[in-house]
Amino acid sequence: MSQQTAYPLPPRHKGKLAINALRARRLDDQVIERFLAEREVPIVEGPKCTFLYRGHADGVAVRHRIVNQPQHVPMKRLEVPEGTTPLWYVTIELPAASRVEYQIEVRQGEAVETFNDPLNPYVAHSPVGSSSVCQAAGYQTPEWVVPQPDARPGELVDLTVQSTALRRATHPRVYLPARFRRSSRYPLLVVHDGDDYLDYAAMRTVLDNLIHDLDMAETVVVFTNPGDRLREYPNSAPHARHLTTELLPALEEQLPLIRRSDARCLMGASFGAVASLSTAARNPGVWGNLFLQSGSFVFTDIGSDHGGGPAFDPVVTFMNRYRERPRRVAERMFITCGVYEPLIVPNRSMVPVFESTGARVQYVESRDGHSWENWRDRLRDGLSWIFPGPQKLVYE
Amino acid sequence: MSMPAEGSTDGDGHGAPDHRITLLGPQREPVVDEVMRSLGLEGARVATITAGWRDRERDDTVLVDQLGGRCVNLHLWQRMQQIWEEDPELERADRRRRQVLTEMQELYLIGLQKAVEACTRIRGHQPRDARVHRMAVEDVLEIIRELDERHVQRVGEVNEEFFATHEPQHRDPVVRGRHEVGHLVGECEAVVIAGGHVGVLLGTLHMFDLAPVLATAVPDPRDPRGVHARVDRPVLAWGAGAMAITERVVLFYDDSVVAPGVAEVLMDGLGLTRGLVALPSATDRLDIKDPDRMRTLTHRCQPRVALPLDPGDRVTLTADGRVPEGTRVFGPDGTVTRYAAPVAAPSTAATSADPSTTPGEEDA
Repeated sequence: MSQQTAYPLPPRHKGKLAINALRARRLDDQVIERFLAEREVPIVEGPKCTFLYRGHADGVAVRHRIVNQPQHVPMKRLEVPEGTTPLWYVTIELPAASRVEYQIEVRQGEAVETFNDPLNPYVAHSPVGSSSVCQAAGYQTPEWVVPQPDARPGELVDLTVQSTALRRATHPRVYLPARFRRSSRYPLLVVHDGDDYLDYAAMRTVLDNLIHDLDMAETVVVFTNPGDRLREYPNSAPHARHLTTELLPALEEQLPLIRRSDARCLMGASFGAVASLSTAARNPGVWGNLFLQSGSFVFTDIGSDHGGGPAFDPVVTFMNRYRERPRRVAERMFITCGVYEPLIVPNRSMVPVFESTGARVQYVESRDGHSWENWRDRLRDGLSWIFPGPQKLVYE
Repeated sequence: MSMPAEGSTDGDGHGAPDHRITLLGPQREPVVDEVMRSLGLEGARVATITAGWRDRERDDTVLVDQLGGRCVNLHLWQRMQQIWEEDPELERADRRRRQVLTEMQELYLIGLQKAVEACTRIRGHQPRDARVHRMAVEDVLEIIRELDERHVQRVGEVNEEFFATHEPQHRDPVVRGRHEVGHLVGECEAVVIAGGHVGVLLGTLHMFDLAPVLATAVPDPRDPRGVHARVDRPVLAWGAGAMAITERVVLFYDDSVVAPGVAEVLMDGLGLTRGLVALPSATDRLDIKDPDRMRTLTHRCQPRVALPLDPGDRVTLTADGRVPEGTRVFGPDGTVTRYAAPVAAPSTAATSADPSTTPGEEDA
């Protein structure tokens, strides 16, 4: 059953915003430099986040991707004496615990340049580049995403599987938990976009910590990677066949895995979530759990015009067909989505559809976007629900 | 009275030495040495059980230091692995048993969560008639208790069936292991059982049949079964060790990641104690500020008393394994209070007046 996400109370701030106090002062380079040196940027004061840029330009703006909000937010130029380097600013209100990725856009005449905020050291990385991060009041980087000194590390082992279905060799990486023993039996988690989860969502560290903290069961985790992602992930029969009839038997032959559907989970974000869902749908009774993050579950209620571009055509065909005749594809589904991403609408819409099939569905939202750090921050919720650790059984 | 280690005779009028069980809070900052000293057990040879630590069973340097080196680890977990290696048929059967128990636990928990959710909703209802509201709360609590009792009963049946079908007690590796363990314990003056994974610990204690090794049954007219266990040597236990030697093991962890946890009964323990449910690290693991949750928990423990074992706690039970007067416990309203034993009923006829000794009620 899904439950309401609990957010911290709205942040409060008393008194004048720092930028307004600065505006009231007699400004020169020294005053502005001291002002910037004494603060983290963006300046977070209660719900108000003040973005700043310093430099000569014809126009400056904050660019973010919060859905249903103006994504191009022009900055104002602070009045400064001639000869002083200008300071640009804009204040945006963000709800508690928000995490927003953004860039600064600077226009000089016809030339427009977009780059990470030079005043903000916090940067999030992804396969398509990096962005600056604004952490609103109440957001905290979870402690379990950074290495803990007493958490014993698991091992990553490279594997090669010749795939007839995909007509290529695949190179998954297998995470074996610390204290892995061949005499034990382990649940299996197969992760789409595996290297990205490792590189941008700190998943190896997260696994080490969650298993060490007994939040998650000792699990064998297989990080898979696509060849042609836009062909293999949106409801591809060869991909589903590869995972189920090639990779899974190879893993079960080589590793001590629990050979039951309830001990198997497919996981992915965005198109990876579609790949997880469609693989489970094509192989009923094999994959008992799904962990779907910001799934690209785009569908149409009328016609087929979805506005997502040709890459989404097979997704929409699959989702429309599924919505016509929903059926249980997994016993348990953990679904997460950021409220600032456009996919929040289809994800919210699909939760009751999945629930109607009798699957146990847990749905969690966050004040975040379509980003790897969002998916990272939800890993503990999902993994500890899918494969709970023995916390309840261990009493030191 | 002589110190327990020396063993006075006639603690209960049946000639059995007056050895006691001492339950401790978590030993992250160990005080085993102090406790042993205070019990007059300094220098005593001690059998240790660290099977709850599983593959880290042998990482017992700190414990060995605390016991001054005069100890022998029974290595029950390691012995269990050896049995599995030598008797794959038994290993397969036990694996199957554990799978069945796991599934039973999962399904029991699904029903339990719904019942606890209903209890919370009913308690939160604004009563138009207090009596109706009270009856509804009592009814749903009874349903929860019935779920608990049925679950324990069925777990017991699965375990009995396993032992009856596969007769580990007649298989060579098990017979050998039990003999060696019994011999080692026999050479010791005290037993220490550490915490860890309570399921694994209970599994090893049962496989090596530690209950009769640690205790003797003595007649007890106060007990519904007519006997109680009298330990043959002092026993110190904490964490999962404390839970495993009680009559009933209740799992609890309110600080669950996704949703508040629901306490669940795992199975019966060794039954060396009487009338208590051990709750190690209770203050850390339970949301003790939530009176409804705590009331539900203590109600489910009844007629046993919910005994918190927090850091620094030390409870030496009475000779017949009961909680002594004045011990810090969770009362019926879920708050911390001092334990007062129920007034003893006349020995003829009226044991039913004493809720803690009503025949059959403990197992109902």
